Amino acid sequence: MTTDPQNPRDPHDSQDPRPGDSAAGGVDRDGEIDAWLRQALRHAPDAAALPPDALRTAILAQARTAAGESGTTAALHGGTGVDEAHGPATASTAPPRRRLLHAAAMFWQALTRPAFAAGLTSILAATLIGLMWWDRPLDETAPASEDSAHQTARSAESARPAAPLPTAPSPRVTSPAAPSPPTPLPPVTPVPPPPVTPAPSPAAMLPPAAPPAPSRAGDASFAERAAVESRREAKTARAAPAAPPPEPVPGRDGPAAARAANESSLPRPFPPATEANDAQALKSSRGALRSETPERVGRARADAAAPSGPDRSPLAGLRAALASDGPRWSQETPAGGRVDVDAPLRRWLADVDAAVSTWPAGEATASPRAADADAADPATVRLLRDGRLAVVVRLGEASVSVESFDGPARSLRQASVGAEAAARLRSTLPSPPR
Amino acid sequence: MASPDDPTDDALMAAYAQGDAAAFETLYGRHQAALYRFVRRLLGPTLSGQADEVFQDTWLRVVHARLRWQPQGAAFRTWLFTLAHHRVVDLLRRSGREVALDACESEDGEPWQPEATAWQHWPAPAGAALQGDELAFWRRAGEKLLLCLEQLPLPQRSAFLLHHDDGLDLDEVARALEVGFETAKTRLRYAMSKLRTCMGAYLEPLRGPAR
Repeated sequence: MTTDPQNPRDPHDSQDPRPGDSAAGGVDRDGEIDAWLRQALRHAPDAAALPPDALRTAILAQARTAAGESGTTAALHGGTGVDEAHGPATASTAPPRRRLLHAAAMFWQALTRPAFAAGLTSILAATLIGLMWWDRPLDETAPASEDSAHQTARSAESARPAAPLPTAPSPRVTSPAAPSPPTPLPPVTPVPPPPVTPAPSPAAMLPPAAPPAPSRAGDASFAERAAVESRREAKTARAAPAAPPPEPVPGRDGPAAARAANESSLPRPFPPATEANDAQALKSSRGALRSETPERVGRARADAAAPSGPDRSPLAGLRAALASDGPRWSQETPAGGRVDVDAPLRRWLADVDAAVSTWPAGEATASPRAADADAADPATVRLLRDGRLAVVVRLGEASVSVESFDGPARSLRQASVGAEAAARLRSTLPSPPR
Repeated sequence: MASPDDPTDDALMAAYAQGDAAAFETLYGRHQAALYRFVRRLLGPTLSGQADEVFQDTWLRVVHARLRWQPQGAAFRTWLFTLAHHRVVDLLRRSGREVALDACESEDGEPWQPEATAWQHWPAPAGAALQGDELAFWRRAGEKLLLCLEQLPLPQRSAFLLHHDDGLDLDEVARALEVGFETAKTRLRYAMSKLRTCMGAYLEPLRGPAR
């Protein structure tokens, strides 16, 4: 008969009765052990069954991991007592490395709990998503960030004293600060003339929300390049006199300007870009552009370069475009030919721009055929972009107008010029080769 | 056989709670065979394939509960078998089996007792190593006993195994099964009665060749 060493009891240790006797008697406090049943139990086929080695390995590995140390050899097997072997190894007196391992083991053990693992996973996922959408609006059409919008406005405001370029806000100009879903153009409302020395708030500097004009989609990159070239031009052309601060011009903001503003439904001509507003606008929108699409980047930069005040000069944008995209531009000769836009013409445009103190807000009315009618006027400059008529600059006796063409859309800006200045400019207009 | 100098189960568990993995290995080696056998026999031959899962789960419960474990009244061995019993009950319930923990037993009533005639011819349990026909007899008896065990309700089966195979006394059996002493005693009594009946009927034809 085999005896289980793990079982301290043996059928023969107790005074086991015969089966018949035990069946008749009851079970006392120590319990009745039927020696025959126990003998049969110990000879059952599964009496020597042991767990598989792989199971043993797995259990012990998990136990070691939980204990925080895989190779700890306790002194229990060396004859020393448990207290002697593990007395000092408490959580408070254990060495730091052991405590660290213990903490790691506790954390690992906690990970096996579904609730803890699910919570940790949720936190990690939320963190990851938060990092991915850092400083980015949930809605792609929403502003990139409020800070960038304010900085854009501030940059535009800071650029005004250096180059006061009056222009009227165009409802079709898009801005990263206030885009809106594509809706029909809002009804034109009378726009009062701007104050002579305006100090608009950042919010007032922002153009009204309007849908992006599809025909101006390509102007995003154009404005971006214009901004870069504007910076370059500002450095190289320091000899040019700084634009004078805005001065009140009597009679300039009369009914004509108001009427022009009322009828402003044409696209804005060329967005002026200065070094200051471009740099600050780009800096402010850096965060928003971190993960933006190229289209969005171009739009943001174009909007940063776009005028945000009512008195921006259309000639500034034209000059920037000529500087940055010169090969695409040409001048139409009176005979119908085309010549490159040379430096004298650019300087002349700069002089014209400098001669204008304030561009009234809003757009003047333009006859669709006006540009063709005065093609032979020597004080008219017709500029082509990619072979198509894009801008016509007319210098009158005491006024200058800039008419821009963007596909079927046209816009006209007019400003007053002193008679002497106009005469001087007319005389210095370089004549294109015929 | 454990020597008196060996640390107790409680001391080993306390050492393991303090990070001594070797203490757990000692515990495991000390109880693995009995626990594995208990799990297999509780599950029976139809669910013996789940024995490994229950066995591992039981030990992992020990691992996870090492910091909370306190030797309050119950010995580690008793607690270990309690964990295994819970796992078996859970598994049986998951497998769709009815687990009647009260096992229609009455503490006041006496179970039916078989006639003693079939037992009178059984060989007496010998202390020496069995050989020959006697060894064959007990092996067949062991095979039959496993079949008879499967017919017992789980509470009676667990009470019998804890008491006869694992050597727990009735107090420990009651504590392991989380029932009162009288309930444990009744379950054991019913289990032994049924097993004797089952075994006696089976071994009756073997009396001739065995003796």
